[in-house]
Amino acid sequence: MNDRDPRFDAAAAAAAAPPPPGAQGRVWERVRAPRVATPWATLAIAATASVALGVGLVTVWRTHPATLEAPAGASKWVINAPRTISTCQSAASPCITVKAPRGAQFTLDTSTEIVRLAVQVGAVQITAADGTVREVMASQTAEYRADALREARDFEAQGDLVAAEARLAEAAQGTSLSAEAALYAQGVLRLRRTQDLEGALKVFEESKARFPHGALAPEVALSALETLSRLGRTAEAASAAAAFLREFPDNERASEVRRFQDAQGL
Amino acid sequence: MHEPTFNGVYLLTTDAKASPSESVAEPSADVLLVERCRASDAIAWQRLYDGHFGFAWNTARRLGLPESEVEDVVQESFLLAHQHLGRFHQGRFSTWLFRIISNAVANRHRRRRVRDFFTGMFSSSQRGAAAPSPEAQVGARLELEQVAQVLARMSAKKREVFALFELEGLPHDAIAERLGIPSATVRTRLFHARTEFNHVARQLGVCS
Repeated sequence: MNDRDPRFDAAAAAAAAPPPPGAQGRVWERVRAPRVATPWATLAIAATASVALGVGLVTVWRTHPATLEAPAGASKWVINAPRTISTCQSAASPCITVKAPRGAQFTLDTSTEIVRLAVQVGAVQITAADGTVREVMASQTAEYRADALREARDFEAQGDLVAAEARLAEAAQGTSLSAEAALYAQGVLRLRRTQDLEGALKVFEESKARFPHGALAPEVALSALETLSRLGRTAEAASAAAAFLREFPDNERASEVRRFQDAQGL
Repeated sequence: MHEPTFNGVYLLTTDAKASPSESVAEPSADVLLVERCRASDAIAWQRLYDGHFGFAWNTARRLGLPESEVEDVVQESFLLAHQHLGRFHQGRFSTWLFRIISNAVANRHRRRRVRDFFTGMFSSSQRGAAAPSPEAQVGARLELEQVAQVLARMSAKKREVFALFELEGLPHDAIAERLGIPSATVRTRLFHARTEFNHVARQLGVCS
């Protein structure tokens, strides 16, 4: 109990290694002028503005899936999103996608008859125009997605890849978050298990077309990039890497893409 | 004494004590720098950053974060620290920063587990087949990436104690000071952390 386990000597030495050259400067460029205002300060400003303007207010601050209905009587919602992803469906359009960088505010005009807003990032508090405050922690979409993927995984564990893909293809119908997740899983299945790289790429391209700003858009883009690289389509992979960094510069896996570019001499 | 923030990150309001083995900036100087930061002194912020960047980097690595994510977590942690400097009153800035980093790392591990559910579900059997058998690794030295795989799946409290003891080499008393818990708790937690490490490692086929 009192002595360190010598098995960890190598790991301890590696963890004590100095940061790689340039890391300190790179991070400094991103923290030298930090945003001082807290999300709550932003929220307070937004709340004041929304009350003054008579619009609804939506605030997103946790990390669990949620689904909510449009508040009755709200002509407009102001959303303060501390995270990136939110997707809404409209009666007028199969899928309207709303996307905002962390900390940004954006406005939904409910004249487009939004009937459902599925927010990837969790509990959502709505203040409607009539002053009613509601909080939603629904997770039907996530539960359904988990079930479909779990069943597909069971098929895969039994070695029945055809059944696994069929289950995913079935769950991938529609425009919901669960459909998006199932479609992505279908691509991953082809990429990792059946080694059908061309097929995987087709699925990822389909996902990009159907869910251009979906909750899994960064993952889809990264998997497409990996597939292109494995197919030896270097120029297209380079283009995909640049597009990824343009679209998701703050993504937690952006550094992997930068290393990919470095390795490719891009 | 913890205080929740908007996204579940917990920050010490701090009564952080000094740890004898820390090699980062001298604490009273840190307190002065923090004071200057609060007064919007950009140079003080840079000095605070420069004095603790290496500590932050190594802490994130020891807590099992893949190298590819360390930069982002260090960035997040410094931004959070700057945002909540008003809650730091005394003690070592590094001890306070450790808590922020540990929470940020825990969030990353949690998100990665969700992501792995999607991306790893169809490749797990391949990884398992490629991994060395547990028997082959009995008594073998473990590389950091192997240890990190296991740490990522451990509970945050056990991960902290395990990393501070086995990877940073801090004695029990220093860990107790760093984490603000009694030394006896450190020993108990370390015992359970080792048990959990071995259990998870066996599950992953990392070692026995």
